[in-house]
Amino acid sequence: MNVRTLIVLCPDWPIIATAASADDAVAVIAANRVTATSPAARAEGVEVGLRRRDAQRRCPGLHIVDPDPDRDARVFASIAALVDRFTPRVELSSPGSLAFPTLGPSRYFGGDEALAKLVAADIDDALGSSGWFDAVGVGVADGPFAATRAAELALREPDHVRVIASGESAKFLAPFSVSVLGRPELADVLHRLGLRRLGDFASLNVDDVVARFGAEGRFLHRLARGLDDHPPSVGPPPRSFDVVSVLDPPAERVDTAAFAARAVADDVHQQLSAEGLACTRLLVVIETDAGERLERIWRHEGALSSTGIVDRVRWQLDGWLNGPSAQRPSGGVSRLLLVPDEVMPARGRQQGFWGGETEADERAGRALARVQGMLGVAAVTVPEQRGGRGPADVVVRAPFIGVDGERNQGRKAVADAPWPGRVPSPLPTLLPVDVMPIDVFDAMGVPVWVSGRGTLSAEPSRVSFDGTSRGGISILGWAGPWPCDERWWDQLTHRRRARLQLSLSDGRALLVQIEQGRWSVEAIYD
Amino acid sequence: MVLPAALSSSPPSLQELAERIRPVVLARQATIAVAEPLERLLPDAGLTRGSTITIGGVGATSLALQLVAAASQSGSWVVVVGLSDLAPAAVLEAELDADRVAFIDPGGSGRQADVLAALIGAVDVIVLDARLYLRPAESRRLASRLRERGSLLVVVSPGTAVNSSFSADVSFTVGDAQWEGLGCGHGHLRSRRVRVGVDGRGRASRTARCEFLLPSTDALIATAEPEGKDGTVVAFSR
Repeated sequence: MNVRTLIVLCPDWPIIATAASADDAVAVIAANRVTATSPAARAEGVEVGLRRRDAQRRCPGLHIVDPDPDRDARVFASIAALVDRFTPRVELSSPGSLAFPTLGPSRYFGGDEALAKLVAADIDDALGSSGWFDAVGVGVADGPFAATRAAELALREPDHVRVIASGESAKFLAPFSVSVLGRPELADVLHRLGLRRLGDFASLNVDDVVARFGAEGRFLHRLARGLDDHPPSVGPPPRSFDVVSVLDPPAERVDTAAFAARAVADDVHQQLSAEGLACTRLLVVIETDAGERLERIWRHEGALSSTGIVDRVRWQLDGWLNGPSAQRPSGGVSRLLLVPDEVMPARGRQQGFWGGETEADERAGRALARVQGMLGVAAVTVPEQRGGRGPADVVVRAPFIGVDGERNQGRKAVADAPWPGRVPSPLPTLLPVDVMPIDVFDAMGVPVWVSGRGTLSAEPSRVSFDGTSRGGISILGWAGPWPCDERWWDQLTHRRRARLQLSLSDGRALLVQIEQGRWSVEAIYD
Repeated sequence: MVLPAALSSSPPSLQELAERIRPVVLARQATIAVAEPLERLLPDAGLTRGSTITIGGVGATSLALQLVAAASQSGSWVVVVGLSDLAPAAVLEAELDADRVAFIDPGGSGRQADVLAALIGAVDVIVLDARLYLRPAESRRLASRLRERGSLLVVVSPGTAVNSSFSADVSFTVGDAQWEGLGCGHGHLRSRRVRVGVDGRGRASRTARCEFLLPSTDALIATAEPEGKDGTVVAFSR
């Protein structure tokens, strides 16, 4: 059944939350990719998905901010508080976007259009007071997917409102490109099938879509037809899974209350998973000893994990306890109530029998997430196979996101592809972090170099690490030069170099390279 | 009156009593498996859970990877703390399970003790960079936590002798490296003959010495054929 929904969308929220001015060129960069940009940065050509270096090249004055979902959520609480005036049932999915069903409120405020205009004006005023005009869009349609599209268009409207009449959602969605479904692989396939618009996709027979694309295809097909985005399996929980935690003494600080939330979240999660369910919508109620009460509904597209629940409780606490002083509670937090509001059968977290995810994996995942909390996300990395010639290219360190037994499955084919000129096995074990210069001399003490045709000027005989031709360490064996001219089609990443394998008289073996006339140690066989 | 059978019989002898309160698994039986060529260097043919291992010398990194590879293959997590220069490609080449390896770089945060405390008990094998400084008191506290929780700590010092505040239960020294396969202008590095010395406390206190191909031609580890009397293998009798 479709629920008429109002969506408030601030696409630039990660930027607004940093308290940056609207005229600054600011970008949020996570894992070396731009994830959000300010209007000024967009004007300079900085786009979402660019690499850090490319973004800085296009806009040298770019101010780069690290992603901080906690900060985003904390500041967004003030926007959610504005909407509380219109409805008690505000649903937050991610910072920068909130939704509520319009059925009751629009009758009270005189129709969808009038309600949306009031909401948009309130939020635009609040944002405009800090210099961010035209940063919000409000869309109303049958179901969240169409409403989000409407909100995106509303950003460019003078009154920031776009209302799609009841029953018109499918017609409204038809001209959109299939890429708005957010599934690049599917969009690619549909493009090649000649189905470029949502309307084309929606006109397909459901049975054919299921046969070709499975359950996920059916879900996306429903979206394209303007139907509610809830898979039919989602529904109210079969029994109450509410969990209450009473804090005695009341917690004054966010971290103390969040610590209590952890136990409650685990409890809810365990109860649900014991019945094979996962939570997609969660009501979090926080009460203080002075009798104040804050309720929020959190929605998640997939299933909320136990840490996901804790995060949301923490965001809510943070936004309330550290928010504007007018809304701040006068007492400490005395009671936490978690109510799973909507559940669906859990599929994703099956524990492994042969391989897959085990309890040990879960424990390790938790410990690694904790270390990430201490040192930052980038400090914990995992190996990722990439394929390449040099020892540093074959496997790289990628930030740890979560335990995933199938992470390297798809990459094996690339890594195993033939790479002519790759450094032979066994591979070196150490890659110097800083450039480690080295000099290579022949028997006469003359520096050795590699010609443009890839030949050595003389047989290498000794190396030195201090730049002098006297002394040094003598070479027992050597092989090379192995010339390597990579990515010559791209000016920025083009590298031309030649490698030598050396075994030294002190038992060490090195892989050295010459690039632009200078020798350096590329890797050490330790 | 009829007495229960246990009471009516004669009181148990001390031997029976000892048998009854004997732990089901002795500490030294709770081991983590190692590659077959390394088994005879270790007193229990495996790495005892809760112990601290140090590895130093030229070839220490390769030995450390080979030592923990079998554990990784059998489903244990291996987390490397520090060693920011460790090549991930070599880790996978040593046949560690790519899905159960993680690298942590504490950088200049100085929080390595906190990181280790979070990892002990949560992962089976922790490989620690000997260059990360830990105060002796911290090391002692971590070592006792290690014994209690049963994780294994491998302290690696690439290229040099180990200088760490951890006192080793078993310490390996790699040396006398000789590469094979590389000529003058031809061939490529294929294998390396190294001598590995083992020293330790308690049951491992008897010094053992053994020659290995590390890496061998298949990039793993193999026992080297003894060369003259220098290569005599001294192994533990079990």
